[in-house]
Amino acid sequence: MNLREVLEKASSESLYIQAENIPIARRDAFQNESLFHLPLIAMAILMLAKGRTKPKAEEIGQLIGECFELALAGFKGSSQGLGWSANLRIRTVKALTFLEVSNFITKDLSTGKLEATETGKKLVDKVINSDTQLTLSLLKIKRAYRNICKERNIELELQ
Amino acid sequence: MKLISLEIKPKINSGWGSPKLLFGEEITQLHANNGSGKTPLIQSIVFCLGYPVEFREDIVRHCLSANLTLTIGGDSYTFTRLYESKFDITIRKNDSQFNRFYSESDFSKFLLPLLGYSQERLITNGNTPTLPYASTLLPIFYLDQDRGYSEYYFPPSSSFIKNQFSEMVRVAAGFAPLQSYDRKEKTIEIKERVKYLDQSVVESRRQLSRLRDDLATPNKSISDIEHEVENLKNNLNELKNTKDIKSEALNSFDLLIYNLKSQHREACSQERELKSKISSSNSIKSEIESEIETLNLNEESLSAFTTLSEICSSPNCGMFFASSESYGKSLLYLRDQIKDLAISTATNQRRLDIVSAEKAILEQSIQTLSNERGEAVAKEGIDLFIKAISNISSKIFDLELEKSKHLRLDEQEKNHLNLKLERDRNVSLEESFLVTRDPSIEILNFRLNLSKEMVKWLDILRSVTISRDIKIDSDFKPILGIEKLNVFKGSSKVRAVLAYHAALFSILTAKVSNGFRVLVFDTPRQQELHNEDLDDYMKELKKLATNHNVQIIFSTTSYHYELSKGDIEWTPTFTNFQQPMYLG
Repeated sequence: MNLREVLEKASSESLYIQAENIPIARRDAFQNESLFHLPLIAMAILMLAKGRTKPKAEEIGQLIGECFELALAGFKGSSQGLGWSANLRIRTVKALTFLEVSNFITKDLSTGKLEATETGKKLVDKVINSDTQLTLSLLKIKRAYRNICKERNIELELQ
Repeated sequence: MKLISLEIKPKINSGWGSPKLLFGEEITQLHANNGSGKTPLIQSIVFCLGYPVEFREDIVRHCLSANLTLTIGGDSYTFTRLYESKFDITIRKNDSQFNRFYSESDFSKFLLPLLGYSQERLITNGNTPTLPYASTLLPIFYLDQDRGYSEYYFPPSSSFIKNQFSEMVRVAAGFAPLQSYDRKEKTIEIKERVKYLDQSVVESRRQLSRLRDDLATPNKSISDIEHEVENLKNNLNELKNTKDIKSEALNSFDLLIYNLKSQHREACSQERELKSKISSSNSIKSEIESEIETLNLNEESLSAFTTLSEICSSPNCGMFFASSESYGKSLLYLRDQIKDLAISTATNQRRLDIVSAEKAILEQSIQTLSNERGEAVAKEGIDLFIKAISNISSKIFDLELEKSKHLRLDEQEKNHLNLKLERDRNVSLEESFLVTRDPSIEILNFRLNLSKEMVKWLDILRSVTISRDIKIDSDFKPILGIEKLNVFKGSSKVRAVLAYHAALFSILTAKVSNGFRVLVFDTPRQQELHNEDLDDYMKELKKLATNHNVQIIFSTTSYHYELSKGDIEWTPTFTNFQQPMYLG
């Protein structure tokens, strides 16, 4: 079979070369490293704990992940894709521990919910009133958290 | 909104008028000597839009009316305002429909919604309700020759609305008012609306995931499906026209088998992906577990330290106290994370099962078809032919069905996104009605952008004395470093005002296509600015006009802007006076 025949055969049999879509970890891309530092995570936790709906301690890793994903443009990954989880979860825990040890947050022992202390609230309020990009991002995180909570409640009602 | 033309009609006896002056698509320049009538023309533009102007006595005596033609959303409107009466504007829509207004409030009620501005009732200084007026909004877009350059916002009469400037920027940018007269009623209404939208978002997301689940598991794009259908149709045609029935029929079998195989390949890759997700969540779990182990080691080391009485014999020794407490907590929280991970692993496992099942079905169909093909080789003629055709047509039918599902999914995705945006808007509105409130996301974003933009314009104007550390306060007024506008004098002040208006205008017109889309300068103080700085400013405004599809109108005596495409210069045409005049 010469080339011409191959080409004819290929067109008549509608062959095409399938480029397979194999997911490989993209090592060339930046990871989410910069987002995963403790001060920002701690600030985000404090923001959630200051609001009216208090987050549960055990969900905080997932919640922070989802809020970051919804609110921060630089965040790569998804709530299903678990690329960020190990790092983020461990650091979220560290941030939370820091907040509790330094008395910015208390944990309600009966409900497992986190609540900002007066000092914690004061700190967040100061940031919120500073009118910077950080304020904007924290407000977006707050909005994302609001949406997550409301939607979860509605889903529970529907079930 | 786009300005088309301006024409001044003369009084019947010995009146002054102008020819029909066409506005440039982008820039309109009035370049003439002092005293040739630039200001009355510029003033007539805003006069027609409801701005109160006190004209010189000779204008009132000689001119009858100003006629401004503009288009709003494809319709043409002509605004005719009489010079002599206090307020008398006639609006002609597409040269037929008439509306005549004798009061500014009626006129504003008509014009502002037409331009897409919301009509929320605000509170006056005397605590009575009022709607925004065209004349309170226009100072954002029009700089009066004298006073326009000394303040960021200079209303024609003293402000009568509470926080008038802030409220007007909010109207122009489409934000909720700072103080709404109807706050109480609105609060309930908005609450209901947000609740409804929250529910709709959840509903629509469920719908979305139902549609996604409904799709065949190895997910193909619409173009892939179309490609496949096209191939099958070609194959069908070839079958119809062929003479060698047998080999064509066999070919069609091959094609079907090939397609199934490629689906199978995709299912395999999905399976692989899911497996890797599950294994990665397992590895996260083990990472967390190893973290826990390390913490335990720490705990043990700590107790080793405390047991040695040579270090400290007190039973309540505070050594490592803070860190020991944090170990305990970390331990606790990390264990929680493992629970959380288990949930997402379960979800992935479920999906993996589905994909694996699908894969098994595919393998089976491939096997069946291959067997049939094997038998077919032995068979002769027409049976085989019919079989092949029915195989292909049923495949085409399946694919078309799948395509329609894809289209529905796309549609739903679009709806979902719109719903989410709508909800965001309403939640912001709801938050703005709360008494104690954090700054709103949209407004804060607007303010941050405005300060960035203002720095850019100050650089363009080369103003050296003004700090670039600019904050926009919650009333949208800039604080330059730590200074407010009134401490600046002369050229610095003019530069600050020019930079502010350009920045504000650029942000207001960036995303939306409605509202006032024209910026009018009556003779920017040239004696206080270098010509080259003003020139850079105008060139940048020209870029803005092109990018945002807006118009810039300005008058000048000494400085002359070099026209390019889309620009028009108005020169005085009446020569039977001491110098050329615009009106005659």
